[in-house]
This record gives sequence, C-alpha cells and structure tokens, in this order.
Amino acid sequence: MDKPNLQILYTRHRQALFTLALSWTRCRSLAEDAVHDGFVRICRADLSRVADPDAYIFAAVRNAAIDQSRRAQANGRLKEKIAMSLFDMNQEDSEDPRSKAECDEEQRLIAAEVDGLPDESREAVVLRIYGGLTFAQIAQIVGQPLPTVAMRYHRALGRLRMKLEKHV
Amino acid sequence: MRLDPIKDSDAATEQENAHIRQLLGQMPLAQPSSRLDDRVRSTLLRGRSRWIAVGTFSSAAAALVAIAIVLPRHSSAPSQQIVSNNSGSPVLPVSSPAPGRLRIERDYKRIDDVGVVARLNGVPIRQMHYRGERQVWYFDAKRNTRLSVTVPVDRVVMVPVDTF
Repeated sequence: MDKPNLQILYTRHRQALFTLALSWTRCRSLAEDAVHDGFVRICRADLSRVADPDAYIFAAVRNAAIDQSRRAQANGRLKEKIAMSLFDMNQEDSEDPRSKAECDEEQRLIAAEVDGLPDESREAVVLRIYGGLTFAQIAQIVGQPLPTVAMRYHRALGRLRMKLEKHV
Repeated sequence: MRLDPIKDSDAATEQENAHIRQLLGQMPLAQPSSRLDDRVRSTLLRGRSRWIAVGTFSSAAAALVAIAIVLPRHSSAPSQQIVSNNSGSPVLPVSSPAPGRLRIERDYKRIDDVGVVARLNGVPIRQMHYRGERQVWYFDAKRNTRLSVTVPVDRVVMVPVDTF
C-alpha cells in the first residue's frame, strides 16, 4: 500500500483530532501537546503497512492524549484546573439576535451534557460525529467490540435527546 | 461523513437521534491554535527529510560497497586524487597520478544558527543546524566509465553558551 500523505490527513482531521484530545485531557495546551505527540509517533511508524490511515492517526492521537492526561494527573497539573469544554460558546456569528438566543440556550445545554458524558461515551460521539468515522473504525481505535462502541454512542445520544425533550 | 449501514433494529434509534446528531454537528467546537499547525507541520517536514536522508544514505552505502568491490580489480596504479576544501575550489592532487584515472571529492556545508532554544540547569543551549553534501566522482578514461556518489548530511547540534 502507498504511504499516505500525512499533511493531507492532518488538514482533513485537524479539528476532530484536537476535539478528541481535548475530550481526554480537558485542557487546551495538553490537547495540543497530545496531537503533536501523536504525529511525532506517526512519523516514526511505517505507514506503508497501515490498512486504515484515518483510524491509525486517531488511535495515535488518542493514545497520546491518554498518556498526557495520566501524566498531568500524576503531576497534579489537572487538579487545580477547571475542565475545558469541547465547545466554544463565545464564537461570533451573524444570525439575528432572537433566534441566536434560543439557539444559544439549546447549544449551552447540549455542551454541558456532552461535557458531562462518561469519557468513553463522549469519545464515541466525538469520533462518530466530528471525526466522521464508522463504528468499525471506532472499534479499532478504542480496542473494543463494535457493538460496545455502537451502544455507547446510541446511549449517549439517547441521553442527550431525553435532556433536550425535558428542557423543551 | 461516512456512516455504517444501519440494521433494521437500529433504524428507529437512528431516526430518533437524527435531530440530536444534526444539533451536535452544528455545535461550535473549540478551535486549536495556529501554533499547533506550525508544530505538526514542522514535525511532518522533519520526519520526511529524515526518511529521505536515510534512503539516500542507504543508496550511498550500497554504491560505496560496489566501488569497494569494483575498484580494487582495476587499481594496478594509484589513482589521481583531487580534494576540494569547503569553499568548493579544487586542490591539487596529493597522490601520484595514474594515467586516465581520476577521483574528485567536493564538500558543501551550510551552518545555520537557530539561536537559543532551551535552558539546561540555567545554561542557555544554542541550536546549530549543519546541512551539507559530499560529492565524489570517479572517472576511468581507459575503460570509459564514470561513477558519482552524493551523500547528504543533516545534523542538529546543541551547544551550551558561555555566560559571563
């Protein structure tokens, strides 16, 4: 198999990789370190033998993020920090103010719920929705059976749906 | 976005979750900084140049082995050798010339001072980047053969800076 172009893969998955790393570390600088570490590891590997490069780079960044998170917890770096959200609710857009306010409230609720999901469920949502990966790829990345990751994802979405329905 | 084929049993769940999936897709994600892009891109560039260097070194090593095997067979007389200095201007041959045989070496070097990049026990560490190329040509007029070998050199050296 031809060696994949890492530059193209990075550009394509940049946002999703950062969100995945942030999902584990809950800290911007650690998440960026994790994405960088992941690519350092990828550069050392022989990618010509990798069957699914997309899944491979997600797995590398995920492992780096978990390592970063554990290291930071061991050093006590995470204890004093507030966990960072996966979402930036202060981003400006040009919608009209009334619908924007309604939208903001819904989005804030979703953001709080996603941030509050268990790590594995949040990870499944991030990989599926923002990474655009299949359940088979996610199962390969997290090293769990396909039905397990599908169940985590559906449960997480079901939980979010129920919260939204209650709210409405 | 790629999605798996949905089984009948999951179809209802997928439909129920379609709205929440759409909402999640519209959420404003926290953005990575441009500094991350710079870091990853420089890592990817370094990784690529490393593999190019390894590949070139391997080819050069194979070529040198070939030379080592082939040349002694024909070396009844010492070959004429011209060695160049760093500036690239040739120096007169040092060994006694053999008719029709010639060996030329030339080194190109470039040294970049990246500046102080870290501190080790309070001592500033300066990074020096050496890049160069060694070219060797062999000519044998008798047999009408020629061979050239190019070996690139790329080395990063960390030098402690003296402080007064």
